[in-house]
Amino acid sequence: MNQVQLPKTKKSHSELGFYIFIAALIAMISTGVVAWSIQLQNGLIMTNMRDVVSWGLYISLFAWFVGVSAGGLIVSSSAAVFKIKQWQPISKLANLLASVAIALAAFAILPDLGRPDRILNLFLYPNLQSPLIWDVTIIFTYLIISLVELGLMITADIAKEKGNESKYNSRERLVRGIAFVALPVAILTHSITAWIFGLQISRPLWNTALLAPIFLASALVSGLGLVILVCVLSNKFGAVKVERETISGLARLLGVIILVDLFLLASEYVTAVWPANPAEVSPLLVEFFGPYWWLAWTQWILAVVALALVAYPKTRGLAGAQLTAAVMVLLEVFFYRLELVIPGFVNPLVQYPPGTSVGTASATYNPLISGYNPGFSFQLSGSYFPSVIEWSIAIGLVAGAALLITLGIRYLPLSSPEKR
Amino acid sequence: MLVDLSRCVGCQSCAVGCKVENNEPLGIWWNRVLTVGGSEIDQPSGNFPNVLMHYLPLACQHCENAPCVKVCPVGATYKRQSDGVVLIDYDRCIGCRYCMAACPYGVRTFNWGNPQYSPGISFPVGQQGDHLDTDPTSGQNRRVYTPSRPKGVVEKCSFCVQRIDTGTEPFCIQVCPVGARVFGDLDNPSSKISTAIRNGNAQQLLPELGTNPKVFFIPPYQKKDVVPSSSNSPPSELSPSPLIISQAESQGGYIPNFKPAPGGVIVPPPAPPEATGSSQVEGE
Repeated sequence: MNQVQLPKTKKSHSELGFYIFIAALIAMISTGVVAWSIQLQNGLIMTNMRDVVSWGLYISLFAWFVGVSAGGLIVSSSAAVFKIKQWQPISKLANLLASVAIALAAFAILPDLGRPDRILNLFLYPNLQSPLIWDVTIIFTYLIISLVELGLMITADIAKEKGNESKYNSRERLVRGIAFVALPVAILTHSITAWIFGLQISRPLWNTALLAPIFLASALVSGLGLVILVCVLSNKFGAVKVERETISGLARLLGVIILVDLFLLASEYVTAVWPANPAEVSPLLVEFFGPYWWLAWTQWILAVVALALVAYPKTRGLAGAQLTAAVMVLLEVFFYRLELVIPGFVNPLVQYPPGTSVGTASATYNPLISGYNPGFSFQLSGSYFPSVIEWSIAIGLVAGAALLITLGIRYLPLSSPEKR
Repeated sequence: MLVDLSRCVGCQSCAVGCKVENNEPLGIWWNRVLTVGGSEIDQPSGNFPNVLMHYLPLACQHCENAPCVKVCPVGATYKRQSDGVVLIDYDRCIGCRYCMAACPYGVRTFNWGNPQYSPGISFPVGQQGDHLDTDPTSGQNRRVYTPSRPKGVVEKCSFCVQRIDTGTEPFCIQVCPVGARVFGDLDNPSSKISTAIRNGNAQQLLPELGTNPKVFFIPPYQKKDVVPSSSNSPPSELSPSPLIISQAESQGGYIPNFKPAPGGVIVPPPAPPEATGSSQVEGE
């Protein structure tokens, strides 16, 4: 698919499409805002999280956003650190994606809090032992680095356009210097996000030293997925045009990292299953053959099909196949996050009848039942599926990311100067 | 705290007493009495007459190495310096529920919405008024008990901090009709609780996790003749072993009326010392 100048008539047509797209995103964001205000008013009772499965869609989405930010950074920093010429033209675009994803990750934690009004306590009384505090610190560092890098790249290009060679060179040196810091910070971001889960002895599914490597690999998978997705879409509709070879190169890299990710996962499964310790095996049974079987199977099918699409040379070059693979890996990693969070909670370590009290008069929110039914207030094993409010907020957050990316591509000078 | 599982009759008095004393809203139970046996409450495992069942009252274990304290990002959950009781500051908790994910015992509970009470009860039962804990170093007052729960914060057993700070025992101790619970100073080797822990071969819950809980359990009686036998005769009457009686009497202490089961029977059973090396595979 060779990209040439779009005909003039199509231009106005796509202009209308652009506004419809923006309007749709804003509608989704508004729905999310309304949902969140309802949740703020009534409390987290509006979600389907309860005392047994006490984390759900919000935390999964947070971890997913953190992961998605990886691709942007690996592309933009690697372009600078390892001097990968091919990636230079998309390094600004990639940096925009990293900035947006990490900002939304920070935002996604807010609806999960029971007391968002006390968010400042994180800065007033930080407990330095808590991986959550490490994560807050590293995410803010990462966000600032990405934004500064993006700003420097853009001003460097502007200087080059104006013919100010010395300013361009100094800016480029700065970008390279920051990239050297950004790469380890990115690796730490994913590791620390993994350690939020992985350090917990209470959840055998999470408590593995492999979790940080798995998070890093899956972050790169979803991150590259987003870069490919945005590159293909921008080629068709947006202002930034990306060469075909660059995208196929990214797709090839994606294939390699999917393999690494699946290898790490499989290694984790074997280590959990072979000793046959019930505490280790039970969450895997939950996610493969239990009530949440659709999580793990969907993840694996998506991963394997996406791998096939990018591994087979004929499909790897096709925009349609690239787009499909990109969407699939983004979903795959999202499913992996859900699969980590929900089955991790389903069977508590101390599990005897009548089970754990759920914290509310009934286990699932039902506006029709306001009374107390003791039969619903204990769960021996947890059950969870996000409520409408949770989905609305989650979709609003994803739409927010899409809106920021779309506007960024349209209004920020992200193309290389020689291309413009 | 010590719970003698060989005495516990599963009457749920401590669970209900706790709920009343601490004015726990609907759906919130700081203290639960679990049935270890069959798949339902009060149901044994096995086939009659060879059946097995005991109760496990479960509340906060007040761990020495408490995962909840370590993960709390804002220090709202903290272990009190003076006595090691793990408390929650209702005014500082941000409701992230990381502590609930970190607790291996599943004893933390969250105020998902505005607290609800049984219809017709419009006043706090049990303890009236807030209880403040003063930090000895900063002098800061922290609200560690309140009958009117804020929405969106985590709560759990506090060893009835409002009672122990005024010199009374936790309410579950007082309401237990069979005297299965003992509360006292673990640092004092001659206290009633320390004596009973030694004599009763008391164990901690999930000791392999290294949390070092400050709640101990004296193992329940385990029948020796679980192997099917031809006779339907009931098991012989049990009594404390002569060793325990003599030890307890010489120390003037508490005499648990049970025979400690060799190897322990609390579920999950602690790993025998020689198997420690291999049991650490978990989570690697």
